[in-house]
Amino acid sequence: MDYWVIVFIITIGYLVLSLLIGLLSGRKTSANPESYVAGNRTIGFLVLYFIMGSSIFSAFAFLGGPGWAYSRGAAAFYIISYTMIGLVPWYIFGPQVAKLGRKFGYVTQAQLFAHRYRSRYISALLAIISLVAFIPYLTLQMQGAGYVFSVVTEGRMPVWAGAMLAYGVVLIYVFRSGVMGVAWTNTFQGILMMALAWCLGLYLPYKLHGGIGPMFEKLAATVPEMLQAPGLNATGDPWTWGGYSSAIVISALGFSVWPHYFMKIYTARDIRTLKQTVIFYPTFQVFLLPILFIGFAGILAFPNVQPVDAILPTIVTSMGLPAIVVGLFCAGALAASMSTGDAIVHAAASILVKDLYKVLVRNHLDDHSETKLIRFLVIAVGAVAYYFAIYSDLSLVYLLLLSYGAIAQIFPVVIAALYWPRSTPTGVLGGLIAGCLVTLIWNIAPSLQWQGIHPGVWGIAANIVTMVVVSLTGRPMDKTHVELFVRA
Amino acid sequence: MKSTNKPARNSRIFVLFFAAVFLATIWPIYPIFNSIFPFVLGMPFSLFYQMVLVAITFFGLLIFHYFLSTNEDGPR
Repeated sequence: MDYWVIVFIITIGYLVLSLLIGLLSGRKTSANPESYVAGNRTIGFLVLYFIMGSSIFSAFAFLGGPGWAYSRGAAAFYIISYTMIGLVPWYIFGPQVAKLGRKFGYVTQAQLFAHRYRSRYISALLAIISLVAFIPYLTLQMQGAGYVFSVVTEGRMPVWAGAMLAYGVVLIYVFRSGVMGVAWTNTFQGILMMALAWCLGLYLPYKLHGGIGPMFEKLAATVPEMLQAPGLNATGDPWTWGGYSSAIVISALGFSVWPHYFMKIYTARDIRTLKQTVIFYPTFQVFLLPILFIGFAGILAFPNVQPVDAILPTIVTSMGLPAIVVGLFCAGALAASMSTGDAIVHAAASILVKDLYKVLVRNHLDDHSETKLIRFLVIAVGAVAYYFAIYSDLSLVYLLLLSYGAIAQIFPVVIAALYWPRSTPTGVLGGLIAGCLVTLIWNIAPSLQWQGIHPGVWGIAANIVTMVVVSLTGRPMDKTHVELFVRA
Repeated sequence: MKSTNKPARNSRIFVLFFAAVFLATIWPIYPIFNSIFPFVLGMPFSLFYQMVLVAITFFGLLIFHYFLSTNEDGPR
């Protein structure tokens, strides 16, 4: 049998397993949106841990992580830092959000704020910000999946067909099983990714350089600038501390409020589960270590690989490894892409219905037709992202950077909604708009990016100032209503 | 506020802990520990430091959760 055929069979085997797990986990999913979107609030610690872990370790971590270490050296350490801190704020506001969710039946992020501020516009604005951020994110995952197939089959399977195959599976299990499908496949995919990352991360440096220590010693002797933060920027010049630090700040603040993560607060079985997930979450970051080792291993052994994100597949396919190992690697890379993509597809469809359609167009929709609509939109969102993944020349990485800045603007809203009784709907809305606009302008005009500081930081500043000033000059909200949300 | 100010004090400790870990990852704290040597466990010190922070965050949260937080675990 041809080498690539074995690799291909293993990869397909992984897809079949994912599909089976995804379909089986939906046995209890009913036509009730609370079940389809929030899993009836029954998800336990271990599964929640893997949902959160696998959703963040996207194609970006599996392909981009080594790519960063390979091309930018210690700049990649920022990924460890922000994912380590990112979920900690949940320990503070998570329990309150979960309690409110249970009491008032929320399943999306915007429902909480729309209710707190009695504003349809906040709901609609948040929905739009989320969708604008989701589409490039999802598109990149699809391209990653298609790319994996094209590499495995040595070009016999084009990117469009690979992306269609992998995401066909995702759409089927999300359509059928909703959040439970996402949950159980992510658990499977998370374990697979962790195992593979460690195997490859220890094996490749050993094979190429004789071990982790000897590898870093060689690097210290030849390219010491790669081993010290802030490392290099995308063009290979030294990165600034401003750029490095602000990337951590914006990514960490955005992390806890990304709408598809935030929604998972509602899925937790109880507060203890939620808190345990936050506590154990940093242990998932240890998984980044082998990922970075792989990138570092490539610096001296495989110079000048382009694009840099191809470094991991390049090393794996050019070392004459057994077909089974390469097949498992492909399965792992697909798992990384799919475990993020499924959560986004599911969240995007739920948000479209709950926060945009129901709020702006039609207030009443019975449970059955609502779930039907969400399911239909799962397919529609998948199709739109697929279109961008295959046919569009839009600069996705740029859009994604921009969207990180925009998502971070939600953080001050969470804090104001739960801890600042005096905040008003106009204040929050004004803050969000100001924050997003400033982020956008700073992005468009690089000359404004003093010290390389991330545009989102200026956005956050504008956001907070606007929110505070507008809130204080406006009329306070009804006290009894506010007390439902802000603990006195 | 129904109870004493113990929960308030504890959440202040938590926020301070969080701020400390956060600041340790960025300028100007991280540059202090950002050297290549000494190597620890085969890693440059700058990378080992990141792992130490992960450990501190994890154990810090663990200790806080099991020893300092009030047993207010919400709905069963």
